Amino acid sequence: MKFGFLGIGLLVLLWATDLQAQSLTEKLMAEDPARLAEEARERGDIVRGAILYHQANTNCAKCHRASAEQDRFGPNLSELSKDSADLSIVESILAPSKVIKEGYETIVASTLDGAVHYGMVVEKDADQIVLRDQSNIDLLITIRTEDLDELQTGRKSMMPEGLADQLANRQQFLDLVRYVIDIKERGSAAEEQVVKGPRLRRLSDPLEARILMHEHQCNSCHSSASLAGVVSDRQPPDLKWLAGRTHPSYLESYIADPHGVKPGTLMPHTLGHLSQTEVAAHAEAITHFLVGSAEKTAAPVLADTTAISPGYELFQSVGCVACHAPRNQDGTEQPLEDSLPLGDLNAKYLLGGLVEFLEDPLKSRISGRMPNMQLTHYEAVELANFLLQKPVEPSNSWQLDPAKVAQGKAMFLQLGCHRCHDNMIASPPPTLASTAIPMLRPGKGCLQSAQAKESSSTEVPDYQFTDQERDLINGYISNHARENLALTTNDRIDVSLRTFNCIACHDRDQLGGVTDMRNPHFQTDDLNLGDQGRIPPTLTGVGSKLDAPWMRDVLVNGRGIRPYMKTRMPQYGADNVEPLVELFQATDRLGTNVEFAKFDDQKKMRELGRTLVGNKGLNCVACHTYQYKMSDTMPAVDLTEMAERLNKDWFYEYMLRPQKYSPNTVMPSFWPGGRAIREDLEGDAAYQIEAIWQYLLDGRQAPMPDGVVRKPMEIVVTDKARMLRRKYPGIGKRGIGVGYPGEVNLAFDAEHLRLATLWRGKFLDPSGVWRGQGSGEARPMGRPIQFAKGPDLDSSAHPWVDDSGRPPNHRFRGYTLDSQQQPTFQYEIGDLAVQETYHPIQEGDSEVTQLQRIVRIAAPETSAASLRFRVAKADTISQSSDGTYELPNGLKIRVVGELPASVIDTADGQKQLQVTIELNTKETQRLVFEYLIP
Amino acid sequence: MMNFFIQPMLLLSITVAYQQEPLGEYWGTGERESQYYRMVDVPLPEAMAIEAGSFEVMPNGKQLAIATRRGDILLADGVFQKYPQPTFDTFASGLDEVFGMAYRDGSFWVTQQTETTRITDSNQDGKADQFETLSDAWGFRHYHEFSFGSKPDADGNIWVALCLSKSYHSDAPFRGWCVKITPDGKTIPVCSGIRSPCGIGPNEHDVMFYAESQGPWNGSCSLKVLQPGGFMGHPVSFNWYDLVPEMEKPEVEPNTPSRLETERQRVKELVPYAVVFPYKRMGRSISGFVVDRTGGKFGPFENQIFIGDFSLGVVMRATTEKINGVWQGACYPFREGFATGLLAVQFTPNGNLIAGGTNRGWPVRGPKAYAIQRLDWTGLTPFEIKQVQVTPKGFRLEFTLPVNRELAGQPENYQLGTFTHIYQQGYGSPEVDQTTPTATAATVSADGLTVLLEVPDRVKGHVHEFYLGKINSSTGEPLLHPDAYYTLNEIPE
Repeated sequence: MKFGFLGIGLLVLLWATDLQAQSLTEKLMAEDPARLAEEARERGDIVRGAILYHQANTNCAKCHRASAEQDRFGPNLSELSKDSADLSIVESILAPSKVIKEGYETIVASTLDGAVHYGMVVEKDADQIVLRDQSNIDLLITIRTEDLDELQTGRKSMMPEGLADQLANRQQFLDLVRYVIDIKERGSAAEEQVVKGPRLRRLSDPLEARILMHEHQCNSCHSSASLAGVVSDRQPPDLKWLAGRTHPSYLESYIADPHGVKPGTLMPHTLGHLSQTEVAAHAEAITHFLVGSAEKTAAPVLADTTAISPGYELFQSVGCVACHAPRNQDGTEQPLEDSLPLGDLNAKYLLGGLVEFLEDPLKSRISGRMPNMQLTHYEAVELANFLLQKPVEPSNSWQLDPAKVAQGKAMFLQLGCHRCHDNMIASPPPTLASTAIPMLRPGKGCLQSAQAKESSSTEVPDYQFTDQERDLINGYISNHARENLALTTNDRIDVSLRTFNCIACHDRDQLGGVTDMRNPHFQTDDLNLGDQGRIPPTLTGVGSKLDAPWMRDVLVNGRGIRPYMKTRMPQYGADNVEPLVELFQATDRLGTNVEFAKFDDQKKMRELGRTLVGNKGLNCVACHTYQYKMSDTMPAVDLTEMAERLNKDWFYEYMLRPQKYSPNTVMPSFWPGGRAIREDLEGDAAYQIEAIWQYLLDGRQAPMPDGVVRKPMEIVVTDKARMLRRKYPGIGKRGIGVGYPGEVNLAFDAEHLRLATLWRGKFLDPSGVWRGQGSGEARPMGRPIQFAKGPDLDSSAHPWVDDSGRPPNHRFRGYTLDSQQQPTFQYEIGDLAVQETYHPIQEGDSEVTQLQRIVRIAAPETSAASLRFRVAKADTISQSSDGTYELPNGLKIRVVGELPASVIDTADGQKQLQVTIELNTKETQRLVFEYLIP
Repeated sequence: MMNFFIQPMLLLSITVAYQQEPLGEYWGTGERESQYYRMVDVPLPEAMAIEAGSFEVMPNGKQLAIATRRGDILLADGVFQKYPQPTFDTFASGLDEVFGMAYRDGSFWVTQQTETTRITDSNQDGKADQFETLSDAWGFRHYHEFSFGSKPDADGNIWVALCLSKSYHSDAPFRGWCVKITPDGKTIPVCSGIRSPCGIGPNEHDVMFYAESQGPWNGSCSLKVLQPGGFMGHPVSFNWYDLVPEMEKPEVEPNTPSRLETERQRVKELVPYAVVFPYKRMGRSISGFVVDRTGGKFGPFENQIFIGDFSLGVVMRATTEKINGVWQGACYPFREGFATGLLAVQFTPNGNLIAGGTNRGWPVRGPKAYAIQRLDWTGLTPFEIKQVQVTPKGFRLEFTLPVNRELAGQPENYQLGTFTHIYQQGYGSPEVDQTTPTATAATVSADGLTVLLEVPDRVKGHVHEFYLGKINSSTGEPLLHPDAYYTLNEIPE
């Protein structure tokens, strides 16, 4: 019998060990997958699933990107056919290689030099193959066909095994499956297909030509009614600003050969008809003229090598690389197609000059083509230090020559530079009008081909147009310049988006968007948000989404609501982008007529909304920020800013179909197919959405929903004492809490002048007085031992009887702090001066810290006093054999020395431990007590 | 007893939870204001919540002392630099909601909830070690009994304005009073009738004023003079005259509902609001204020009062003058768009304005939990109504730049209105008794900077609002803020 019992115990033990060793995947594999799928539908929590889906340790979203991108590792889950059973989702997670969707096998590519790459084929042609690296999804590996040794298709899925082991338990697995089911269903349930892939749309040739001509400022010379008006005219750099912030040597070489010094520049070469010597002389003279016109020189900034690295980080992340080519850490450019040229910045800028430029580019380039990236001064310093790592020393030999200034001015005029740089010469003589654009002849003048140009030596400026650009402009002149190109509102928006290169970051109706090559430079602070956390939002339908004043605030003031996105929304200047607000608002329509739910009781609606938003409802707060208090999963957009930003009908639509409007969104649908997943909470989809809207309308004043995570507060004591004067439990408002090293704490009552509370443990939770209006109490973080009210020290004949007021003869005088920040409290009773000090002490040989209290009472020259010092008051006070007095709450008090201590009966039937003191004039007495805190 | 206590608490929580009233429209001038006064963020360390309640510039001219609601006094080095990147040292901590701090004679003179304290670093190690209680003579029973202390006046006295227990009660001694603390710790009661102060200090003529909040007996926020022996308007604190035998308790209490102009004839101690800040248009909770003594470093408003607002995160200007022995004056919009609720303002040695506070506890427009920002004058002079003063026949309007003489010479271009509030025990008041006076003559001075306006039908006791949307500068610029609000208590002979 005994043996049997033991055996069962052993068995249980073995079984338990076995269970521990078994992974979650193994455990789940042992179950019936159909049953798991069924349970996921019934018991899986969609919100928790959404969080798991995006969390770094599982990070499904990393590979199963949204539909916008085709070549990720995993199939787009929203495109799983509707007949993909829930069962297959369960199986795919548990055993990914069992059935591999075609095209998602791991490819092994070995090269002739012996390297082996694992990944997935993104692109393959006769010359090369591009692999997406298996271990770093953002890395693209290009292997030239001639280097390729072998290409094998593996039998393993790209999806790692054992993903379920990243989950904590079975319930999490069910949650995750439930969310994937949601992705699958909402994908096919969406009435309209999500738009596919960015950068599919091109502008029409006439529009492209128009932008090209406008940006080259053709209309500075050739009058044109059709170029102006849609977007603010491009302004060349303000040379008065620039000349004091750049090296004259750069200006000189740039003027002499703009296309050679800064390939891709929009400035034409105007000296082509001159001999080399003449060119040099012109460039030098004009440079003197420019430097002579400089308004101000750059405030000197010292080079700082420690700023390079943070500058590199900024360059890579804030948005520079959206338009310009990426750079190595040492500042070398890594050429990338479609990058806007910067030229040799080292040769061009003084460090201080570049700092000033970056701080506010609109100052010198008012037309906003280079926007303000909202850099602080110090960020601008860092970025400038990164960009100018090999700065050119300012030349001391360069001297301004007034004769050359005058010469240069004449040349500047003669060459017509002032037609674009129009602030350089006050009231220039009238110039002959150039041919108006509608009258231009294709292929002539600025537009003649390179060959034609070589044969002539005209003074025509040379823009170095490509053949394609020339064709576009020629085509425009031939076919469209004479008619006034009728632009739709959307055309005008497109032109703006192209001109300011908004489409480097945003897409709109398949125009633009982040390109693959620049994609890695769009970064986030929070990977949990997936692509939504790093890719700027689509502008498709943005006019129907955003409220006009908010949109203006974003465009003009760079207001943002996505603190996690490292790429910044820049500022382009009100004059440049303000018109976009009206254009967006004029053209974008939601496309459906949303019927708002009707309700009677607004107050009730808001309360329902609060419930829905909270963790007992739809748990929006699991991801969304509430009043700058971030959730512990991801910092999704602040709830209290929603109603200020969004149009109500758009909000309704978005709630019903999040991924239709935001293809990258992490957000699950809470009303899939229009049906509430929380049918137990009042009302249908529209009613619930209306309730949430009503709640959000309160903005920052919206009351906190359940489940908002608040960081606990604690005042931590380390090596020195800490203190806080506030209200404490059992004390009026004049409490002074002191926490000592060794986990002993007290609260002193500066109104009754008494030791009010002792506790062992951590010191203090101040949240009751440091949150909200501060209406609560500072909370001791241990079991408080309370003492009686009324002053400890008082006249023995007429002690003040405690009531709710203040003792009439006592007066608090403050405290001093010693080097350990331990206070000595000071107070007066009539003309007696009292000091109290508390010290943490070690009790005997033990490690336990206790508290010693030393009270010094000084009588003045004129009076003596009969006093009693109340040490404790309680129902019972017993004296132990070691001489300590013990209270019912476990506190022991040692009266140190030969003080006349006694336990007396009080009028209210309690016991009081007290010391009586006869104090002579000028005499000081010292009382010492030790508190052994349980 | 229990029941009595709980009921108002419940009421309070419900009003807070469902307060849906919008905080107030923006002036819409922020972008234009920024051309003249640039807002510079002072970066704060992430590890500590710096909820500024009071500022002081240290004698070395380099450090800004910041006292906080959480009870710290911090010394910040580098706040005054063009691009601030300050470092912070904790000088003292553990205090209780500091709303008043000055540094004099080697000590900080600090007013916190419980008391006025002199704080000294006697061993010169950079940390406070002596905390002398100068006065804790007032009762303190409820967390909302805030105490606002001035910087010392010419005689070294600190004036402390003591908030009522709740809006309607005075449950502990001297709640609703102003007391004066002498340098040696004597406490002298000054006046009664305060409701909920949020700032205290001298006006531009060095007379002690305080900022009162809208509520019972206060139709709107206002600046009031702390007149010794005076009564500031909220009669619930009359019970403490018993503790001040040397002061005479007003013989009559004000009637409710009434008008302040009427009641001030009955209650001779009643001190009228000197500058009324029309609710929402000019803040909702005016707070700390300071006089521009920068000698022009902060632009054209030298010797004017700059006052913050907690709810709306704006800074406004105010000017005062004493007419027939009574203080009155005007307020003007100045700068909006601060990142948090403002509690304190302070001029730096370079003549910039530091403003800071927190959005904790009450509805605040500024999104940040706490912030310190600096306003730097860009050197460009905005076209503004510099000040409005009363004259025997009307008003004298001074501008920062010469006006377009033609437009300014036409009296019909001055749009005027007047109103007052109901003076009542209930909370706040709508604007009532509106009138529309007409300017009959406008005389522009030779330099174009001043206009004398004749307005025959003014109303004593009313706020006179000016809307000058039609007045341009001589260069054709419209006014940055076309509004000003003059509180007319007295008309000079």
